[in-house]
Amino acid sequence: MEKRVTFQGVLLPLLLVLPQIVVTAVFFFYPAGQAIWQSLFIPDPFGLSMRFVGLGNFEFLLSDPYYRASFVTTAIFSSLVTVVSMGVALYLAVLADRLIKGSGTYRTLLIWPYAVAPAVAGVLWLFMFNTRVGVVTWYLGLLGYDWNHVLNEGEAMGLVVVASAWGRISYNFLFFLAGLQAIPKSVIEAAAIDGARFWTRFRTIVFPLLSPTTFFLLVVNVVYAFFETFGVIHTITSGGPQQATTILVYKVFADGFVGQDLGSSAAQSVILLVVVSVLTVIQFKYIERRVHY
Amino acid sequence: MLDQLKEAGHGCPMTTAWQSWIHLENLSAYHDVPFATQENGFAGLDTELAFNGPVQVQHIAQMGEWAQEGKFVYAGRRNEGGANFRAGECALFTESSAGYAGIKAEAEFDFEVRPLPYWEGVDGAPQNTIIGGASLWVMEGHEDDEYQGVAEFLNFLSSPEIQAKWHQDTGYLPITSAAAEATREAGFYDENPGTDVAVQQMTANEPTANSKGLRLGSFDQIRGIIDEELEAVWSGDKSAEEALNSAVERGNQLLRRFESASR
Repeated sequence: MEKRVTFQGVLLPLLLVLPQIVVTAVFFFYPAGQAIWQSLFIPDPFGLSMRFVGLGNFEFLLSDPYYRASFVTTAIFSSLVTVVSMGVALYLAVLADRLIKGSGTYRTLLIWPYAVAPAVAGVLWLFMFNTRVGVVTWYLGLLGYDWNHVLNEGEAMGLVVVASAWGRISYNFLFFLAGLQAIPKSVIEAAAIDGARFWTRFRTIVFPLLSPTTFFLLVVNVVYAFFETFGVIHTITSGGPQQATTILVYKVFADGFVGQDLGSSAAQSVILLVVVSVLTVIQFKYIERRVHY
Repeated sequence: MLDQLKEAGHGCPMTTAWQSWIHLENLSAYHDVPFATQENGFAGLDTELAFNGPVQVQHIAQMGEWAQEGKFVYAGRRNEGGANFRAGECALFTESSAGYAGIKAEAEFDFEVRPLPYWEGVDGAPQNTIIGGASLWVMEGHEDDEYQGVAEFLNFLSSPEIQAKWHQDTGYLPITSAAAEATREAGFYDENPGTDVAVQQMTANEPTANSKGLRLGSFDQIRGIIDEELEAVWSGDKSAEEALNSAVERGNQLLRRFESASR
């Protein structure tokens, strides 16, 4: 039987959750409502007048094959960012967890990139991979590889994925490391005595016990890849070459803030919101079942 | 020239900045062919893009061929090519006159400014070039004394001294003849050969309907579409004709949308 601690009355609990409700209302419900409202209009570029078009903005978008193609690009990009950032973070966390000496230094250094803003991270990677003056490009050239992400679609995708995943590795690393350290040593030692080697122990004990952390990070990283990566895309590729890295959120930014087409941009945000909500529901419904708390 | 550079083993005979602006918008004005119908949009919102004509297709096809042969190196949608040129990597560079200050400050080699090349055999070429498009806007709905302030600021900004200084320091064009005259009288053009090329080619002829500029809605997104389609040509995925036709078709959809929003 679970023992619950409960507060008496309604007022105090309400008061305690009020700040969170206010923050959510101001920074989520209000803008989301605005986006839904705006998505029904086509405003003129200066925002002086608006014309009601009903679902016209959605029709315009969904009948555009280039917009539909950007769903596929987004799916590829988000999966890659999530897998790369979580995979590398887990690997590093497992290694850092085994360290006895100097683990503090490693941890600090691994957490650092998280402090770098996405747009700045984009510029850093762009410098290294600049097609003519980049350091990495130059070394690749010595190896006989001609790096050219301004025209090669696969390379462009690879570069924005790495740049987006890089800062994220730190964040994931922190959570994985905390998760690993919360696993009771006695369980692992018992398995070791039974003769299980490191990777067997990892597969059968550590990874399942880590699953709440992994699930949390999966949800958070997918949301990150969908929403927060436009800075990297903007600085590195502007969505190119052709449309190879035009993900949904970049188009929201480009059409709304650069092109001043706020109606279409709002409609795109609404679509994006629906996509991410559905994804999150799916994750909770189907993946969470396999999580052991 | 490009052939010779390539044969001599040069890694980057030519690069460019702002590909849509230079190789389509200015190309069209310079060869006196329309970029869009309705006098490039000045005569009405029902304008349609027209940059898939023979002159533009031939030019982009030639550039695409050069890209395949390694004679034209594409560096990016904005002015990324400037870094390659200033570093001495690229021999020829087509860029806005506004890039002059950067090149002057960073290039550790002698360079010359020349007028934009044009294709012989096109009637009316060279006509005149056009500006890039940045402008200042004043919106209605403010107090009278605020507009007084706005007027004073615009007067200050367009005064001959400020314009002459701006023009000389950056390479941007002077917006008044007085500023250009002041620059000439100060001997700036004699001391800095090439800095008057942009002024000359822009004012070379009385502008025609094709060369007085562009006025198109959603043009920033249309430039984005043009960038995408040109990249398909440079990478060899599409022919010049396919790419320009597709850019026109996609751009027209945005123009129609803009037209319906502006009624």
